Amino acid sequence: MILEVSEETKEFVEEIPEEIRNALDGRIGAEEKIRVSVSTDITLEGEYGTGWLVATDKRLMSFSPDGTGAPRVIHLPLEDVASVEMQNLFGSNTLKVRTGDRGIEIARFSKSLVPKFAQVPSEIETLIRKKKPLEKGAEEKTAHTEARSDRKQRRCPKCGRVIPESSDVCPRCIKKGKLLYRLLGYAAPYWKLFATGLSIMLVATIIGLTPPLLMRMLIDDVLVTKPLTEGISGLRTFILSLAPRGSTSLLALLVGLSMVVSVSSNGLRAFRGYLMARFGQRITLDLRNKLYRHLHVLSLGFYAQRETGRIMSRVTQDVSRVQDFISEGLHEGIRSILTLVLIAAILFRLNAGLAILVLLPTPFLVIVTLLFSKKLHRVFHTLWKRMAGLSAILADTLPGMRVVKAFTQEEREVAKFDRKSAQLFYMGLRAVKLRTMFGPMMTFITYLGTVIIWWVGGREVMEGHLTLGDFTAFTGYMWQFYFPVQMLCRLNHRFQHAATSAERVFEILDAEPDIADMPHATELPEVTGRIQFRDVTFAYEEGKPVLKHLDFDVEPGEMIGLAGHSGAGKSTLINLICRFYDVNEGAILMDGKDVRDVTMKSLRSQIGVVLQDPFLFNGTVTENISYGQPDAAMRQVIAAAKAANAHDFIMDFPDAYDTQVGERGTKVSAGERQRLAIARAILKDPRILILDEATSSVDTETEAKIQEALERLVKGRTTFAIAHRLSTLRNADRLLILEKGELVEMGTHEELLKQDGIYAKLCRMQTKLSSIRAW
Amino acid sequence: MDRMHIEDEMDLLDPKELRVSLDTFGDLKVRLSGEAYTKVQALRAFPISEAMRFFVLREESGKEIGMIEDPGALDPSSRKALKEELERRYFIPKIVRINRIDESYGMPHWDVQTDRGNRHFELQTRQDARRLSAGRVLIRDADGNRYEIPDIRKLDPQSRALVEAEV
Repeated sequence: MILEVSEETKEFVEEIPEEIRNALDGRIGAEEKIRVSVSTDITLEGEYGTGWLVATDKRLMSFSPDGTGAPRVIHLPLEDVASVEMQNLFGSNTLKVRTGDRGIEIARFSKSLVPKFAQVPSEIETLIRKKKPLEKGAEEKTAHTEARSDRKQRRCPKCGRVIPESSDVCPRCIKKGKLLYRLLGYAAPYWKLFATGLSIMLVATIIGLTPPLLMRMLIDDVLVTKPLTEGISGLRTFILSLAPRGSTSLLALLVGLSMVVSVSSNGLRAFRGYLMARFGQRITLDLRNKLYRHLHVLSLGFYAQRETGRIMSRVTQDVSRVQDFISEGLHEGIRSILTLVLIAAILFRLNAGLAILVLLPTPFLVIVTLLFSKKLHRVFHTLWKRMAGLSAILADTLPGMRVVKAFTQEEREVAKFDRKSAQLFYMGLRAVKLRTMFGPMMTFITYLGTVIIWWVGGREVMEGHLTLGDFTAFTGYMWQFYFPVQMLCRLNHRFQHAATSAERVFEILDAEPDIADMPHATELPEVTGRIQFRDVTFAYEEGKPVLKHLDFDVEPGEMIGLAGHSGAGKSTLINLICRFYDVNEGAILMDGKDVRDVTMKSLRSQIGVVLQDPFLFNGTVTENISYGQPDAAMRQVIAAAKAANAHDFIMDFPDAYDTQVGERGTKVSAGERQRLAIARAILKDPRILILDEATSSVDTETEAKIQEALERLVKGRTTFAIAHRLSTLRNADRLLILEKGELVEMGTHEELLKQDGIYAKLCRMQTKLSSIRAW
Repeated sequence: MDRMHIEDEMDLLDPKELRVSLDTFGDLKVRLSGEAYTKVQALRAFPISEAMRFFVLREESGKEIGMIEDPGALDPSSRKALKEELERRYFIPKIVRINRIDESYGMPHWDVQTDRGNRHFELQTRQDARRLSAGRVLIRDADGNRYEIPDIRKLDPQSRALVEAEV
């Protein structure tokens, strides 16, 4: 009775073992309900073992075995508890309770149990609050938020297996049938094409099955005309009504018919092939474009977790594998099944007893196939991953060639590649080995069917139960029968490929952007540029805040310089203004509107960004300058370039504004790229401007030119400028100094120097450095 | 503080104040509100996409004198001089017929007929023949010479087939 479980908190209540039950019995009152009971996997002594944490409406108890028999018991009345917090330790976590005067560890558990314990602290706190509702507001926020489980699910919620790092779905829980079904969803718009192809296939298949029947007539009715022992029917009756048995005209008729059959079935096959390929390509077109579109929807967090090479291979390789399956595999499969059914029907009609014998090896074929397919799927999955890993190395190393050479790490990079390449080789060999074993095994099983026909059928012919024609037809059909069985088997591995690929494609399609427009999001009207940070806290990884409780206002048109050591959170702050990420606590207001309540498009269209190493796309200078405004007039492009001090060097290119830059174009130096980016920002004419190290990595003269251009640009815009060289912030109206995610100093250059804090120190260091340099 | 108006940055020359002529050396001479410049360079800002508008006039030293947006506003003789100078500077023969395109080691050899006569040239890679919008093709040969096919659709069928296979 006393151990009655309360309904509302069921998820925190586990079945308590007898021993703990007994220990509980004497300690809690009859009317008390157990609200929380969770088992741990590490004892309070730090050994592996099962402890229990139990909370009722009145008290908190912990039972932890300490090796001596009776568990160690901690007993705390809820009134005494001030807070509960989860501490994220290295390799394990603990729950710690603080009372007025001391802290007590009440549970310890491995990282595997973190999800289970995630909500326990807040649940206990709810109990505490119920117990003493008149507590001060100060206790409202306790530290339990500090260590919730990792944001990314590390284990499959269905089977509990760990999910591979490169993936978001559990490879063992994918349902291939479901995948197929989903792929068919993409096929729905083109069902007419599919239906046409299918009906042509049906006709072609039926026609394709007639030759053994014609062969049978050739033998039984032309070559060896024994008197008929049984009635004839169907096609045979019809043909015999045209020409008498044993006549040359019947021979001619059969020859003619077989020509017609051959021409029409091959013609139809070609047409069907074309239709199905078209069907497959249409679906791929849709899938590929949808995938690419979705890649643009996903937020930057998605890309931070993945290598570009891997994503690229999904758009290209995986999609084409899916296409291969849909346009080739799918209809081959349907055709094979159709053929199987038809042949089985014919065989049974010819001679049911013999048919059963002939089909006897089929179950073996199927069993072997199933066994192999399971293995093959696993091998191909690994093979695919190795392949993607290899291209990831290429995508990673080739752009970093300068670094590799500068550190003379060529040998190491080559060795790394060799190793991966060798791994791919061995995996490939394993796949080949499996596959090559598969084929001969199939052929052997198939051959058993022939042996059966030769023995059983041969004897029946000798005894006169079976005509020679039937025997020949049987042999013919048997080969035609096993072929589709093998086809289906080979199809199986093709399907494995396609299923793995489809799974990866859908994985991306299913990835939800971390940041999306709210359903109620409105357009942000043209802003004046007032930006307010309201107690903003942000962490890329839960528990490790990068920005803490930032709270400040920026007036329209004000220029803010952001300074601080690297890693202080300057770039993060800017990512938040652009809403590349969402704040965890607090809010960022733009002209009084929370950035989460407006559409991203309307927000970002009012922000211009000039980054340290601006990215130029493949295209002309004009296209790059007008990237945000593709319909800008030519005169605006020129004007922007002039304002950015870019016009003169552009005119030095023979092709001037039509010069191709980017991958296969003219080389553009860092300073020139920088000025093109500034021109891009000038043309965009945003209310809010972000300069992220815009003048680093250029020489002094270029810096002066860029600085001059920037001064023109920042006029009248709310500007955030990050710079390591503090001299470039001299025009800033105010400086914000960040230190470990906190805003530690704020004011003008002079004020901060007077304060003699971090900024003053940074300034002194840089003056010293530059005097050394100048010397 | 007002934000900048980017159009102010254009620095367009007043066509009424501008006189352009070719001097006896064949160099471009510019007079602009009383000031005279010799050996002036006339450059196209958009040699490919907008060849007949937006010209930059530069002094011999490379310093920009200013820009002309629309040469139509100039007086006829200035316009003529400017046009002559530009045509001299920008030599882009138009291909009217393609005799053959061979390839060796991945490098295409073109044998063509242009509005300036017959020509045989080599490309470094196929990408050096670029297709722009509306059937226009620009070609830059291995030595940096330029050629243009104004509209691929207006070529004879045989030439067209040859180009289509290349670009």
